[in-house]
Amino acid sequence: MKKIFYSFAILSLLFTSCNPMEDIYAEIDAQEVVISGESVYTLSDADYTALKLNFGNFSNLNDAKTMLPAFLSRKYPAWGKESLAAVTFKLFNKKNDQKSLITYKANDQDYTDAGLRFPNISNYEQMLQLLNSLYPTPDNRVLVSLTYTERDSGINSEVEDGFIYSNGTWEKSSGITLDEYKAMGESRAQFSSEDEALVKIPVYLKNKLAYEAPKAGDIEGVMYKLYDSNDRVVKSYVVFFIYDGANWAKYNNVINQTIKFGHDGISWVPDNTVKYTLTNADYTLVGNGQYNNFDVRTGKAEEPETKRLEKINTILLNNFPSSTDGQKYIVSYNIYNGANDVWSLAVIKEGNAYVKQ
Amino acid sequence: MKNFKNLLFIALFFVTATVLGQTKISGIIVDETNQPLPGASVLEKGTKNGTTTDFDGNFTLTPKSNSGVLVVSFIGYTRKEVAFSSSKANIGTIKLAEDAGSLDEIVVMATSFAIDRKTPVAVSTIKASDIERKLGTQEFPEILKSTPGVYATKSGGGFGDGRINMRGFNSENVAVMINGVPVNDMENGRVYWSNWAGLSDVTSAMQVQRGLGAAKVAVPSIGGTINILSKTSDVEKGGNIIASTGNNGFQKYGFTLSTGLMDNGFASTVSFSKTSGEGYVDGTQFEGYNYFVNFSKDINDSHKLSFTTFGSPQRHGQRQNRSTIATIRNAQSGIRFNPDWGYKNGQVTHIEDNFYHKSQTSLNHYWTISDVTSLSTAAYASYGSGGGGGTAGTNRDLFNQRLGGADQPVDFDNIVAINRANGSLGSEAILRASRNDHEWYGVLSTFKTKLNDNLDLIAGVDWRTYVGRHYREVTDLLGGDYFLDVNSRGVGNNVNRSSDALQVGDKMGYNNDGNVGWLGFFGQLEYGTDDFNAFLSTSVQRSSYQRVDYFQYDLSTEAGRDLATTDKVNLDGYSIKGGANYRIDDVQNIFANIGYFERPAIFDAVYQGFNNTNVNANAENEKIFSMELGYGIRSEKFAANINIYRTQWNDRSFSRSIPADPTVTGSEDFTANLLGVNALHQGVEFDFTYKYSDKLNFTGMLSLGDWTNANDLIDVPIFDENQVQRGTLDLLVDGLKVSDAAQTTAALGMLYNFWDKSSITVDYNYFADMYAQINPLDRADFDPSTPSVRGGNAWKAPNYSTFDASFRHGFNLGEFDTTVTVRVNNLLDTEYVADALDAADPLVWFGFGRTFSLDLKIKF
Repeated sequence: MKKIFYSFAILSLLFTSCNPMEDIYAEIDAQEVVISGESVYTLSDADYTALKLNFGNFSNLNDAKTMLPAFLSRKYPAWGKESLAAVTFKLFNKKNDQKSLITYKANDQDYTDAGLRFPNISNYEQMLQLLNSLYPTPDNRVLVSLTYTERDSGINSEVEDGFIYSNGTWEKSSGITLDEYKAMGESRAQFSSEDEALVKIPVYLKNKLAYEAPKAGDIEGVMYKLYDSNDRVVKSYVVFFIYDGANWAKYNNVINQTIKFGHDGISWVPDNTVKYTLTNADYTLVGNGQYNNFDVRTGKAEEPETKRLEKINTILLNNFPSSTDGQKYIVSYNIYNGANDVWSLAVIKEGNAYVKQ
Repeated sequence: MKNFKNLLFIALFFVTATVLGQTKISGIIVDETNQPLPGASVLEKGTKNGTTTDFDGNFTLTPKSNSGVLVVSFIGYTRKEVAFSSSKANIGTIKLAEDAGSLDEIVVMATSFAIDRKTPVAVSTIKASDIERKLGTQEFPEILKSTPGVYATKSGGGFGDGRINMRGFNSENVAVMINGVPVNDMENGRVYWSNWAGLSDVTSAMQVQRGLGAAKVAVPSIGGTINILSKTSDVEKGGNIIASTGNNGFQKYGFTLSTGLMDNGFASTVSFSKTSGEGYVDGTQFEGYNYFVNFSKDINDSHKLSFTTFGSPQRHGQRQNRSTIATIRNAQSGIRFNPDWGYKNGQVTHIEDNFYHKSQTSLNHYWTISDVTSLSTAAYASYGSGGGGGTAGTNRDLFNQRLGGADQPVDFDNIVAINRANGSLGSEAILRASRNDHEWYGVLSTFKTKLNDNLDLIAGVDWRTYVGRHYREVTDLLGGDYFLDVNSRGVGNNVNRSSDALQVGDKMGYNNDGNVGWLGFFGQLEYGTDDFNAFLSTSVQRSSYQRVDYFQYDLSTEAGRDLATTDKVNLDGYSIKGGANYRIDDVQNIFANIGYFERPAIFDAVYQGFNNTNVNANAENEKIFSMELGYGIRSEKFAANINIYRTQWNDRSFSRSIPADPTVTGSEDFTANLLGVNALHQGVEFDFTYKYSDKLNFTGMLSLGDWTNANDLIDVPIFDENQVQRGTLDLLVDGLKVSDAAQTTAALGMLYNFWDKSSITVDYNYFADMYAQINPLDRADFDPSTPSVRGGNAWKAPNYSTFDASFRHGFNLGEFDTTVTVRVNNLLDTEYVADALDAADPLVWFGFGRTFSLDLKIKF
């Protein structure tokens, strides 16, 4: 009797001492669960403080590229491979104004001396030729308020623009004509105060450039004039304005810059990957419109990955004809393998085709 | 004969007159292991005076005469006659020997029950008491999990979603007969156990015949036959009430009432119960009702009528979709994780559910024509109504939007908000149901006559007619105004309606009938001597298929109406089998059987394109050839069976639609019927019972299967009707293991009576070599430009074992016989993969963890 109980117990132990799922579970548990997120983020003032950027901006792009990966790791500590983040931040981008002023009107001899055939300027190269001839060794950040003949569409007109010599080249700032001053309520070609100039110029720019389709972030230099009551002369000044998409505002030497980062499994690196989920129209395009998925069961049409890559190629080439070489996509698609699931494939454009990454 | 009866009647009259107010006769009825047999019937011979035993096998009977003979019988046991007299009022212990042959002979004949040591087939009989004791909240087929060759699981785990596989063959190849009537689906051959969810309550005996089996009618017994006998009417007046509770809110209440066998020969039993629960798996709430009504009438000595109707209307949430092991492992609910449900307005809402009511009604007539001739006829009708839920719409991805991570319930409120916002653009994601209603009528008649002392002839007819109605209907617009029922090309699915904008209850997608007719004849010769039995059996059958489509063809035109109803496709099948059993001595016997049958293709193999134009009228028969040898021992303490089998399944149904060749004028689409895909299932099965003592009893089994695909097809040319070669085929599957069932199983069980009225059982089951489900035909390569590659075996699930235990205690509650049963399944809470679908990362359903139930039964 006892023997039977013992043998029963031993037999039971033999079969049950091991958990049937033990090995499979161990393998699964060893796999990290990767959370893959996608973010569009603009740094806040607090972020700059945390990054110890006391001026509230990055002083150059390289700083941003080196500092932001660590920042993203802190911001999204759970995110791993295939995460994407487009980070917008402020970048210090100084526009130099003048330290000294030269006011001059070019005569015919000046054009000839500069090696120009005609006494007028029809493009920027000619402008540089003239400036370099007039001022072969300019002081750094000198503003030349130059009156010259501009030829545009066969018509000559006399204009006055400002040119600041900065970082070894001349940067143009448009001048304001008498008619324009008049339109702004001035009787002479000058403002009565800097404050007035700063209030009126943004309105003036908005009107002047309305049909030139300015983009957010465009910077425009404007030269205006004030009467200096001490020196009893009219002086020119340059001030820069930046367009925010709707209005012009005085430029404070900071621009918004966006860098896209991707997580490579270890850290964030600059990456242009776009995540894309196939739509019903995409499935229809490649003949999978009935179920809007790829059938990956054994022996079915999209079982081999090469077949799926082929169809994804068709779809991406159709949807994003202007994508350039090196553009990466992570494409998510519905599959049926006995159950419905979503799989993804990471591809990169090489030549005129997408290949698996 | 008549004189004798009259004499008996007169004698009885005198005896009855003189012995009124008699002493009571009492006794106890036990089986060979000295286990009491509750529910055994005790009848005073020659009268209608009888009773049944209580839980402890005890009976008391007030006889109508001073002395006489008691007839003691119990289904599955040899009937015994015991003399009694007033001087011997306590008869003591009556021991019954197990033997299916104890059943009413005419019933055995009509239902093809196998008789131990006589019928030459491998058989396991499950006693009703074992079902009552061990089934609990398990799926009905799971009661067979300890028999050799059987693999039974809960599939997705919904109520009634269980499946059974025998010798590696799925339910299409396992015949199920209830009271001798085949119940496999007429169109696809499958068995839906949810239709029979209440059957376990009213089962009096259940027999598994492995391999060819003993059925005389044509049935798909490739893997085997499951033969279920329902109760008829109880002899004794009375009844019982039952109440059960179990894990996850399982609740069941029910009663049975019997009039008992009345003096006019009439008896009736009515049984009703309600089952409900939350389900072990998330989102599988269920509610079901079971009813069973039987009227029996002994018209006279030669005619007996029995009317039975039963059914189990139910609705349950399902887990239709399997998940990867990693998904389940990482899910909050673990092995209970179910992706197919969510919350709508705070209520649990099932994406996948099943609702069905199939009633089975039969009128059986047993006619003993003479001492040597009898006729049994069953006229039956079955009505099915219901279907399964699922999703539809242009944006079914919305069903992946969950209340949190991917392991959380689906956010239906989000879908409702989107559909509502669509306004007059309609719903983009809805719930629908695929309905599969049917009406089925049949007559099965079996005639038996003794040709001489040793030879019997059995012959019969099996007629059936069936209509299956298939359509989808909108069940929930999920907040939208309507559902636009168009196909992927934007064309309405029903050409016969004015608007494709549907409301709840409207038919969508498809709408067609499958008409199936069946006429079969069968005959069997049975030879028997004292130590030898043999049979030779044959059957022929014709199936006719017809498809009627209400959606695809314009019914307003003559041509459309013509197309809507197909011609009948007639397919013929036949079988021939024989076997012999020799009883070497009182202990040993050997048997052998051999058979061949051809089975016509199923309905869907003929109408593969789901339309009326692409009809595969030349679908080939499947051919099955099977042989089996068995040896049995029946000694006082030890009984065992060992058998070996070899089943060849040849020309597996395999057809493929070959598109027209655009480079050849006049080339048309055609369906190629491909032959030569063969499988070989062979194995050894062993089972035993060992009575160590009156108190301790062991059972066990070991089943070793070797089920593989048997050959390759290489460079097989495919010819169309004009004998033009249209392609070639490679199918490299030789040696590929048959999937979806454990090829190796073992079981060990112990029963211990530790007190008089209390006993425990412990059952151990072991399952190994289960390969994830694959269809070998999917490996067919029709592309001659690429070399065919031989794929490996499907993913092999880890071997696993489980323990089940039960405890049973009987006592008297007042004057009522009361039984309490406690069961625990998967005692050790083992996590195991029970079902798997092959994929790069296999998709699985886990079996249940530990579950329990507690039953109370009070007899009155």
